[in-house]
Amino acid sequence: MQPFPVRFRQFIHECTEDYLIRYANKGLYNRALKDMEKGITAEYTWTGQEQVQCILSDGTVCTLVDTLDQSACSCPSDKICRHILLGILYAQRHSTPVMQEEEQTEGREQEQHSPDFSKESGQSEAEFKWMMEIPLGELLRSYTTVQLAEMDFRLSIKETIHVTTDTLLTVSMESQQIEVSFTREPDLSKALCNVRDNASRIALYKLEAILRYRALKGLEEQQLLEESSYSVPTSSSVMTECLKLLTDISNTGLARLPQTVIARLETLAITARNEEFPNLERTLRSIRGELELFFARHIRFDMNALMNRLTETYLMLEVWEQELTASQRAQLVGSFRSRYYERVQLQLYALGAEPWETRSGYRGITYYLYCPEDGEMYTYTDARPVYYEGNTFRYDAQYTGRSPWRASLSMKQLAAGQWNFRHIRINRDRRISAAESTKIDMVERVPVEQIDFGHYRVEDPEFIHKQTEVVLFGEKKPRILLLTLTSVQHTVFDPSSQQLLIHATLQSGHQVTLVVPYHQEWQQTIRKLEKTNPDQMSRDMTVLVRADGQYLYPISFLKGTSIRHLKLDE
Amino acid sequence: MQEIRQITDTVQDWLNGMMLRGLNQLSPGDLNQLRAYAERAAQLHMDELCRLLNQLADTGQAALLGSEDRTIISDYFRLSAYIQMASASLTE
Repeated sequence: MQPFPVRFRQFIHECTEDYLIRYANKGLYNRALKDMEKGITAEYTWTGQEQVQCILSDGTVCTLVDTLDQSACSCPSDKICRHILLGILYAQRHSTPVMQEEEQTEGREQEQHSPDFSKESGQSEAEFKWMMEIPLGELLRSYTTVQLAEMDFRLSIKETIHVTTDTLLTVSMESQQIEVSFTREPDLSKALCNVRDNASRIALYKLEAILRYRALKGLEEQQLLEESSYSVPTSSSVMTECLKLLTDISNTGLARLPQTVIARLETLAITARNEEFPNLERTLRSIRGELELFFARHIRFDMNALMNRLTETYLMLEVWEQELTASQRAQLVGSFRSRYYERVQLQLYALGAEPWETRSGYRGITYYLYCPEDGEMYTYTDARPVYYEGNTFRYDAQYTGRSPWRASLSMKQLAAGQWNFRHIRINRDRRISAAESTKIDMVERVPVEQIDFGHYRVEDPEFIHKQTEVVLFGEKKPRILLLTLTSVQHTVFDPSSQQLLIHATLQSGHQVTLVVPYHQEWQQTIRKLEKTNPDQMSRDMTVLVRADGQYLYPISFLKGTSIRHLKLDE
Repeated sequence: MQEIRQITDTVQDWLNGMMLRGLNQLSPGDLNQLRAYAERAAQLHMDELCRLLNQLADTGQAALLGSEDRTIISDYFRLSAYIQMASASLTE
C-alpha cells in the first residue's frame, strides 16, 4: 500500500464533480461551492493517524481521510455535509501545503494521470477497462456463499441495463431502479449506489451491477458464479469417520455387532449436523433407527430397508472421495431448507387453483400464477399436515379465507385476478413465500386470449409428453400446460377406473381427453359436469391442465376475463 | 421375468445373510455360491450382474488369500446397489 499522503492526494483528485454529486447531492455540492466563493477558507494539518484535520474559517472542523465514508465533521449532520465537500473542493482548487508533495515529480506525474476534476467531455469506457479485466474470483472474494447464491438468483432475473459514462461509469438497472457508479480506480468499495440500504445490500447491488455490465459486454460467468455460490465443505473428517464405521459394521456383521454402535451413529449424526451435511445426518439417523429395531427384535425391522440405507450411504461416501464439481458436491451434501429471495416487483396473472392431498398426510391448495413479463409460472402453496389428531384443512374455508399478504383480500379473489406484487419473496423453484412484508395491488385483468403463454401453451397433444423433463434418480415432475379447446365432444364417467373423462377438440383439430378422478369431495362437481350437455358448454375455452404421466388433469377453465376453478368454484 | 426375479431375490438373500454374518466371515463356500449365481446370470443374459458377481468373487478370493484391500466392501455394496435398482424396477 502507498503511504497515506499519496493515497490522500489521489483521493482528492478522484473526487470529481460527478462523484461528489452522486455521493451527496447537487444542492449540497452547489452550497459548498457557494461557500467557497463567499470566501471561506480552509487550513489543513496532518494529524499523523492517517487523517487530515481541516479547519474551515467559519470554525467547523472536519477530519478527512482517503474515503468519503469515513470522513467526519464537527457539525451535527450524521451524513455527508457541505463542510466535508468544501474541504475537498478547497484542497483541489488551492495549493495548500497538504497537497504539495515532498517529491514534486511524482506529484506532477499523478496530476497528469488523474484527469482534471473540472468537467471533461469525451470520457470513454476504455478508462473503465478494469471492470472487465478484474478476475471474477477477486470480485467475489469478499462475499459469502449465501450472498453469492442470492446473486446467482438475481442474475437469473431479466433486467434491462443502461450504461452512461462521464467521469464515472454508471450502470442503471431499470426495473429495480438501482444505479451504481464506478470510479476509474479498480475498487468496488469506492463505487456509489443511489439507494440507501444497509452495507451488505449495497455491496450486493454493486456486485450485481458490475456482473450485469460484464455480461452485457459478453463475459459469460453465470456458470462460474453458480459454482462458487455453493459452499464447499472442506472438512471431510466426518466422511472418513463414517466410512470407517460402515466398514466396521459390514465386516463384523449385524449378528455380532455390539450395541454401542448406536451411540457411535448418533455421535456421527450430530457431527454431520454441526458440519452441515444434512443428507448424511438424515441417512445416519435412519440407519440408527433401523438398527434399534434390529436390536429390539422388533416386528417392523426390515432387512432390505437397512441394506438399502447402508448401500446408499456407502456409495455416497465413495463418490465423495472422487473429483466432483461444487454443484455436484452441494447436491450430495443436501440442504436444510430452500432460501427465498426478494424481488422488487412482479406482475402475476392468476391461472388456477388446485386442491390436493398426499398419502403422507398433507392437504393443501396450490395456486398457479403466470408472469407475462418473464414468461414463467409461479406457484403459491397453502398446505398443512393433517396426520395429527384435530388438525384439519378444509378446502373451502382456506379458499375463501384471507390471503397472507392482505387481510381484506381472500384467496378466492386472488385466484381470479391480476396482481402487482411488490417486495415479493420467491425461491429458485419460483414458489412464492407467504411473507407479510409483500405488498399487493390489483391490476385490471387482461382477457386470457391476449396473453402470450410461451411454451406453456400447447397445441399438439403429441408434444405434451415429449417435453416432460427427465430427472435422473428423481421423480418425474408433472407439467402445467394451457390448452385451447374449441369444443367439448362428450363427457362420460368410466366406472372401471372411477374417472370422469372429458373428450374435447383442440384448436389445432387434435382430440384430447381430460381426466377428473372420482373423489367423494368432488362428487358434486363431477355429477354436474356429467349432466351438462356438451353443446351447452362454452366454446373456445382455455384450460389449465396438469400433465402427469399419460393423463391430463384439468385445473381451471378460462375465458375472457373470467376463470373457473374446477374443484373449488361450485 | 419370473427367472429374473428369482435370481435377484436369491442374490438379495445372499447379501442380507452376508451382512448378518459379517464380511470377515466370508468362506470359500460363499465364493462358490457367487460363481454359481454368476453363471445363472450369464444364462439370463444379465451381463452386468454377472460381471459384478464375478468381481466380488475375485476380490473375495484375494481377501481369503490375505490381501487387506478394502475393495471387497466396495464391490459388495456395488452389487447391493444393482440388486436394489433391479428389484425397484421389477416391482413397478
